[in-house]
Amino acid sequence: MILELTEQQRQVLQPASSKPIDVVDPSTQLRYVLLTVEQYDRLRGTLPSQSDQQCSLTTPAMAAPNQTDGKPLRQCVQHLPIPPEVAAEAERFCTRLSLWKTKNRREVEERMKLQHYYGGKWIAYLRTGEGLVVVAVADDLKDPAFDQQLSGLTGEERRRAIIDSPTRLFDQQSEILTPFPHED
Amino acid sequence: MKIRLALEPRTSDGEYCPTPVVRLRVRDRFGSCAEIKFRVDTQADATAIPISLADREAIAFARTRPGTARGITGRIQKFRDRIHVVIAGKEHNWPCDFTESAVDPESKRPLPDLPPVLGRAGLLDKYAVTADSGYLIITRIGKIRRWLRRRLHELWTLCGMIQPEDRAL
Repeated sequence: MILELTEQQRQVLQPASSKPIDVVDPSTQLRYVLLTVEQYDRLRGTLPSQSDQQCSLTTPAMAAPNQTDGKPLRQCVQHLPIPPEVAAEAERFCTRLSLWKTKNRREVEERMKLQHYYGGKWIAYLRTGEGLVVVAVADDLKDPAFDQQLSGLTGEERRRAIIDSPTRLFDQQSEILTPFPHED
Repeated sequence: MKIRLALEPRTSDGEYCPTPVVRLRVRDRFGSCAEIKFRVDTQADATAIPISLADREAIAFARTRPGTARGITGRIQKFRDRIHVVIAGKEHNWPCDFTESAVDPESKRPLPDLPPVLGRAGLLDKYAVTADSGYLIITRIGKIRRWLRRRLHELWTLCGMIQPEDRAL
């Protein structure tokens, strides 16, 4: 989709076309940066591609890209590296619950990776022969990017997609959920 | 019928505090079922699903009973309706609050949606919920089991084995 500038916006942009322009949405106070296509292309060339990111994910922030150009993410959780602290937690968890089978251990590790990389976000995933495959990620369900990613799925995949908000595995903040003990 | 599920692991501020979560199948407007993960919260009056999630999962609800839900984390707008939950082939019709997002009091911007919550209304009529040794145990309380438990509690009351609620443990 291409939005056309109004005459007033064009005049504001004209004198400073070589510099990025700050734009603010008055209703949400979200700030944006307006770049020329050339500036955007130059900037994009310095960033790793999505496939590069998928091969070298090490931190939760990198592992949960929200921008996939509207295409489904299709991140197989088993292919994500398991950080040492997550591996240690999985080991403790399995010992605590006496889960000795390799299959159980693999499932626990997969779940914990999902929590580590996507905890606190909204995701949609598919259960496949390769394990869980994350197809959409957003900080909030109201983010249009989430729906864009879902719309890239086939009808069958959309029916099977499970929307979830995993809890954070290691959280610095305490969570007090219980939002509804009384009703007006 | 007894279902055992491992609690979802979680460490908050260095302390291990696993979360009771359960996946339930909720009937959508087309008659099929959407799988939704709920946090089990026995402090919540009723089950709650964010409207944004209900919309995406095609769970129908009416906006005819608006209200406010209040908690220690603030207030949110909600609509009260009912959902059809399918557990082990049995269909339950439980009250549900369909919730709007909370609003940040400073910026007035909507905050990210909270996850769905499984509250007491409806659930505790049919099931007993326990967290035990790292597992969430959900037990269906059928007519016979309910009758037996009532008799047992009568007996325990007579024997003074029920803790008065106004006395500290």
